[in-house]
Amino acid sequence: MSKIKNVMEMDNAAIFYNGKPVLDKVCCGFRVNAVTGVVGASGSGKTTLLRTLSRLNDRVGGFRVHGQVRLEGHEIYGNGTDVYQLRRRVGMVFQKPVVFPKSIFKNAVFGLKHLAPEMKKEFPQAAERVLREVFLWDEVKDRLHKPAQTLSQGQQQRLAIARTLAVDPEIILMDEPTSSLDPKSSTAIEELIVSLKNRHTLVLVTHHLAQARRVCDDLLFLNEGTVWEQGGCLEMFENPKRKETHEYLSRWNVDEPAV
Amino acid sequence: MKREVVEKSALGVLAILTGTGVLLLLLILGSVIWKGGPALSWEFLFEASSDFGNAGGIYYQTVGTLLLMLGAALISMPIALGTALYLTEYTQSETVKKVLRNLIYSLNAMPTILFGLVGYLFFGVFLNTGVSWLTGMLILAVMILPTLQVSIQEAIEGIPEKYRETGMSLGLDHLAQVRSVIIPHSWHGMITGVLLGLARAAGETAAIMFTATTFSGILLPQSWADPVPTLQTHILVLAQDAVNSAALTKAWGAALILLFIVFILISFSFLLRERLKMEAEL
Amino acid sequence: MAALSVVCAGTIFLYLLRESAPVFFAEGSGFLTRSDWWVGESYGAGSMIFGSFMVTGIALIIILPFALGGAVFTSEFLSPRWRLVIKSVMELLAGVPGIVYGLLGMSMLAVWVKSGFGLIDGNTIFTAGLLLGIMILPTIITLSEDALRSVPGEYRETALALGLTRIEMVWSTVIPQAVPGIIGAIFLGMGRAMGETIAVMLVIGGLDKIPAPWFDVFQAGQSIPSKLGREAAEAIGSGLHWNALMGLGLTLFLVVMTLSMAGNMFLKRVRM
Repeated sequence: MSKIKNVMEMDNAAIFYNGKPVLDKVCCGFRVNAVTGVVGASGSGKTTLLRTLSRLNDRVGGFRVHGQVRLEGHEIYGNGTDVYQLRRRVGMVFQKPVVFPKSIFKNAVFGLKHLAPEMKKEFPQAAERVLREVFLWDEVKDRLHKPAQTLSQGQQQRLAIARTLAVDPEIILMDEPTSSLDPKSSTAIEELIVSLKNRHTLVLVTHHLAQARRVCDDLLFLNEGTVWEQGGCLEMFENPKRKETHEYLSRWNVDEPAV
Repeated sequence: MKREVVEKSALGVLAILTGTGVLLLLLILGSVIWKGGPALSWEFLFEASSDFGNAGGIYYQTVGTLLLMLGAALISMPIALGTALYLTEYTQSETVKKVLRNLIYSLNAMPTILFGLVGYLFFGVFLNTGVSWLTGMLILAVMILPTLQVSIQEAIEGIPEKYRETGMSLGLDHLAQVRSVIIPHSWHGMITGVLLGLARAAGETAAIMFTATTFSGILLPQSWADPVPTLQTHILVLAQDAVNSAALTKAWGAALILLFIVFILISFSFLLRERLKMEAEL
Repeated sequence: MAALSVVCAGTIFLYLLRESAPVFFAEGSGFLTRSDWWVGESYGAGSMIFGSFMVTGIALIIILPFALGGAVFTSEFLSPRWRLVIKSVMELLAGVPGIVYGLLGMSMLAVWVKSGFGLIDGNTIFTAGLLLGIMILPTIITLSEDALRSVPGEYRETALALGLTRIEMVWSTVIPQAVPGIIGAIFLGMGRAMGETIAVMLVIGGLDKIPAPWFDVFQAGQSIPSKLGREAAEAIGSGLHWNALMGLGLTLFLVVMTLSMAGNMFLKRVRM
């Protein structure tokens, strides 16, 4: 199956906190320009897996990774990896919308300000471009310099995505980006995710199985601290290979999780 | 029934004990205003003292105190910020953190007269700065270091993790993280620390009385190496040598001004904290 | 940058050690035990050491009821708004410059002590202790209040649910758990009192003598910092007199640092 191009891969990776394994024998890949959903019960290590991909756990004491995690063939935990460059290429959107107590505009170009200070003159265009990409432009174009906290939660989350887009990552990781939003905002984010895969590769952690079914191309099912099954999304919903996968995924239209 | 009586009377006693603290503040403020008030006048504030403080005003002493404390804060600020950033952002070693924290607290508990003695030997003699403005600033800078450092560190530690992580996830390096996330979200701690540090420096006498100032006949320093007049030492001299009540009234007047400076600084730090609390509740 | 703070504390200790060494060679342990301080002849620091502990002890005895009562009332019985008021008052009190306390002590407190106890002179060890008590009140109240508040609320609710009155609840559940913190607060307050210079210097009387009998606190005395404040300026760098003063400084340093270490350990601000 080497025709399929994986942008990012984990090869027999194991992740430890203070010597205790959280994930073990993880082998998985993320296809270019696809949305890969990561599902599994609470505590199965979904968030840990996601954070490992952009080395966000470096600051956490006692955190260790064995095995290989590769971005376009390069080991990201190896010596000589520019961790800041890595994080720029692998963006992250958190569960709760995070906006800085600054203006909408400043939030949108927050990363850009440091990564490309020489482009300062082009910031307004860049901000417009990313705000359009997240379908926020028409809502905020008249109040770009108002504090970002005045936006609704859904708008804040879209602004957070715009801020990530502004530094032009190849991969965008999303950790339950809709779990603290109302249904209408969730739908808007879902549409946004689908529209983003033209230019980016997305990894989406979600508890919301119907959502996974709607937006994902591939699926990764975590169970008992390892990747239990992975494959095409519909394929796994309709024809899971393993019993546990079936048990977990079959509820997709039963329990819409309460927001 | 008996338990209720115990409860009531115990509460009464506790309330009285607590009220004493408030009364003390009122008593202190009242006394200083009552005794120092009569000394206040335009001339008192803006004239030089004469006749060894028995006549004239406290203009140069006030300016001297302000110069000393501002200088101290300016020197202390970068060191305190550097220490706080190092402890929170750069070092992972628990041992280093523990040792530094211990030292900061020891420095905070150090009797101020020892800062004066050793500060004079180290700066004044060893680094040859003499009895001067510079020596005083350096000594006070060391003295207020813990106040600033603790305040800044608490502010930095109070920054929500989500801001840090967002900065990280965008690929900001350490320096960019400090500039765009840490400092903008902890400036209030720095200002509070500086205000309280200034207040502490303004109120300090023992550390500067024989290191930064000489008792009479000086105006403003013409250079770093000149001594400065200060309100604190002015009051001390008048209090020790007062022969007539006029001189003592001058001392009370100077005390009133000094108390005013200190209380203004502390009150601003209150305001800042209150405003922040309101913002946090938004 | 961080290294600077390390250097500061270390430097103070080393300087004191180096500068005081000659007096310990000259006087031996007598420096700490004898109380004859005649400049140019002999240096015995006994009366200053005695005075320091005495004023600190008096300060504690006088102020503890107010400080602890105040802390309990503020933490357990006041509304958040009033708690903020008390805490702010304490912060202001803590900010009153030592020289202002000294002026107040000299021209008011000493006069009251004099007339109240029928003394010839109001500048006594007792006056200094009383003034110090007032000065360390904010430190002890603030820190003990923090210790009381850090006791988790569930304990209070459990005790109240069992039918205890609020005073009983505080006495039997909150205070026992806050004891280490309160002890820490007292230690730090003692450290403050021990090191205060200017205010004590103005009201203690400035006599290098242990009163006879020793517990007669209505006599003039001397504490280590007040001695340093009076004589350091004239003795700077000059021979054994200076070394003796630095010996006093070293003694003060060791006592205060011990108190502060112990206090911080009880407050769990630092772990050893």
